[in-house]
Amino acid sequence: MGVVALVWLMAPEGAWAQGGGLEVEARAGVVVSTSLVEGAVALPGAPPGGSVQEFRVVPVAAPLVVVAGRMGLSPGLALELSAGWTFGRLEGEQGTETWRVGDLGVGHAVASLRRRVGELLHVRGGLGLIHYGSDAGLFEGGPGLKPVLEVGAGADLDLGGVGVSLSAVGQAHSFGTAALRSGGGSGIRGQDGTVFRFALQAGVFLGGGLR
Amino acid sequence: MIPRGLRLVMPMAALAVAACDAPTIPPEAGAYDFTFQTTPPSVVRWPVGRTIRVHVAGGPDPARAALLREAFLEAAAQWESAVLFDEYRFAEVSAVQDADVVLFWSIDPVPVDTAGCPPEVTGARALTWSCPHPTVPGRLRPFTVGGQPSSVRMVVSVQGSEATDPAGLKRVVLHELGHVLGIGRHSPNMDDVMEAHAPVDRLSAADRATIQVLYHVEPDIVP
Repeated sequence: MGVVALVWLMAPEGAWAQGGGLEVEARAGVVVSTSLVEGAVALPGAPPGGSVQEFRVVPVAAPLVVVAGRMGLSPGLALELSAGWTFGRLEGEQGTETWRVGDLGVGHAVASLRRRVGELLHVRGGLGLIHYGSDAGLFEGGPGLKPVLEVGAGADLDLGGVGVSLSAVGQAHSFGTAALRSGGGSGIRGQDGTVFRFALQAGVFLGGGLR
Repeated sequence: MIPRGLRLVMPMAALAVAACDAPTIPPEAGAYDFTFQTTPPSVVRWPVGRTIRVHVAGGPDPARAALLREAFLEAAAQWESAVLFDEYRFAEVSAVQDADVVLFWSIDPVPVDTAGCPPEVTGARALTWSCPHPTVPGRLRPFTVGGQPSSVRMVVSVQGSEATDPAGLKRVVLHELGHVLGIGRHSPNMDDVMEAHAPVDRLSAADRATIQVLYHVEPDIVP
């Protein structure tokens, strides 16, 4: 779906005229995420197919702030550069147990194309980098920077002269750490995988000329 | 307009990002049996995410006390580094009553009341002991301290003669903290800290795998 959106965003459209104008936007919202790690264990020596307990480590729903700048490329089309930070924490879940794994900060920076749809709506898609930081053992050795795909859609409103936006955003990126890959030195080799993040954001923007 | 090359690269990058499953830890490999030899065998461990509070009763001799404390801190750090998701942590506490575990020299008085839960006399260099709760199934019995209730569930004694060999003391304490965490048996492999007499001062891959598995298996007994 994200790929379709990107292709559509980048499709040439002869009717687009010359662009111009700048906007700056501050957004805040809430982000949820799929698991950073999933696993399953059974008692050593248990017969195959015996009782297995699954566990997962997942970022809890967390506040997110984003600052974005936009430059018009043509009427209805803008280039957006955004950077955001999530103030989160990691939680483990298995059976009836949950536990706090550690604090989690997630920073991301994305360059995207933003296209207006009608008078109020917009869609956006782009690529960037994402970084996870935490004191949890999982992050020993650091996850480094990972490429991230971002797609979003929303509405832009004029409330008494103040530009307000509401948007939904999805991100996808690969995830893996040195500690995960080495199993913390246990020989239990973790495998990299994909993490999806979803956010609902509200923002205010200054500037104009992009509508 | 968007350069043609970029039009191709961005969807391909999107596919690369979105084509995989969630990050995973595969089923365990290399863990040894950690169950306690009850009938049937039982899994004993602290609740996941627990900070295990340890009181180090080093005794009246400051030098001996410092040795035991240093051995505890190094052992705790090793065991904490063996798990990826902060399944447990150790914290040192100054008051016996506030501890979950008490560590002391066997030549000093036992810091808790052991009536009803005496140590098995084995002649071992160190010993970790606890007792089932008399009325609450699946729990361990709390010790009293000076007749007063406490949170102490496990006691670890170390032979006083270990003070003459600081390196050996660290190995012994590292081994006993494995029992405190819930490893109820000895490894059959001399490379592992949890082998009964192994001259090993660093956790092996099997020690790490075992503790990782233990803290993701449902327990039968929770201290």
